[in-house]
Amino acid sequence: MNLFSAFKISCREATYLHTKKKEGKLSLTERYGLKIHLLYCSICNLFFSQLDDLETQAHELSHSEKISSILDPTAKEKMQKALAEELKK
Amino acid sequence: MSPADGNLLEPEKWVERYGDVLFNFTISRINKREVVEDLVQETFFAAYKARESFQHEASEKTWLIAILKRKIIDHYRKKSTQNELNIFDKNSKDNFMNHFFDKEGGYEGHWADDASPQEWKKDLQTEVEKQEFNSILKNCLGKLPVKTSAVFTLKNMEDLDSDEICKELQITPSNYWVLMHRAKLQLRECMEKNWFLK
Repeated sequence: MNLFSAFKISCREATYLHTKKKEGKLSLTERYGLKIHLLYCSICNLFFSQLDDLETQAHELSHSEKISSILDPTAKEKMQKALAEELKK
Repeated sequence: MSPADGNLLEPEKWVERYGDVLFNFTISRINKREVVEDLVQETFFAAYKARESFQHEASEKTWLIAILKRKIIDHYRKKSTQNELNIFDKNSKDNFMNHFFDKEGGYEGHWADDASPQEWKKDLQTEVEKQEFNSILKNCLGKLPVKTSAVFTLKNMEDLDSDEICKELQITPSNYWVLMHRAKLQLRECMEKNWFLK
């Protein structure tokens, strides 16, 4: 067994480590294992970059100030009435 | 309390002023109008009850959004206490992973042929594309088991860190890594089928 195979991990394990890597929680063994895996596995490289994009998009879209959906007028009116009732108490 | 200066609360104008803002904020996270309407209304009620605690340096809007964020997190927490125990038992784990990865032989743990990520053909340029992407993302998140989508959303949309998420959802760190792994595999696959390769 050489050093290389001592750190060998599968794609299943590599994808599991995506979150740990992003959150800086990889152990030393995991870090080497992942580094080596990503040296030769193009599919996992693709997985990693797609997930990075997906997370960036999810973040960006949920933090956008742009108003793209608004309350339905009936719902708004109902809410207005309910709150007005509450204010009278 | 009567602030000499600073911001005042005007609850009678909240719905008109912030109803749409809060609605928009929430619907980008939770894809159900009725649920979102309830959360927005609860936020106004809770804010009114807590009006004494309003710090007058803050803006009304910032304060309301802070309350709303807490409501959203509570919503995920309540939903994710629904029974999903089987996710962590051995059979369900194996079945799940066997869809994505080869289960035996020299390729054990290697991507299964029909689940391998493909190159994505689309990128997001225009507003329309972004909105479409967003609605597909929400649909895909909606298809995940509750706890699985909760970890992804709390992390990537609500900006909680993993310790906070474990506390909110009452899960162990190792459960967290497992759920996140599943969320990523499923979400990526769903996005690929519905958006990028369309």
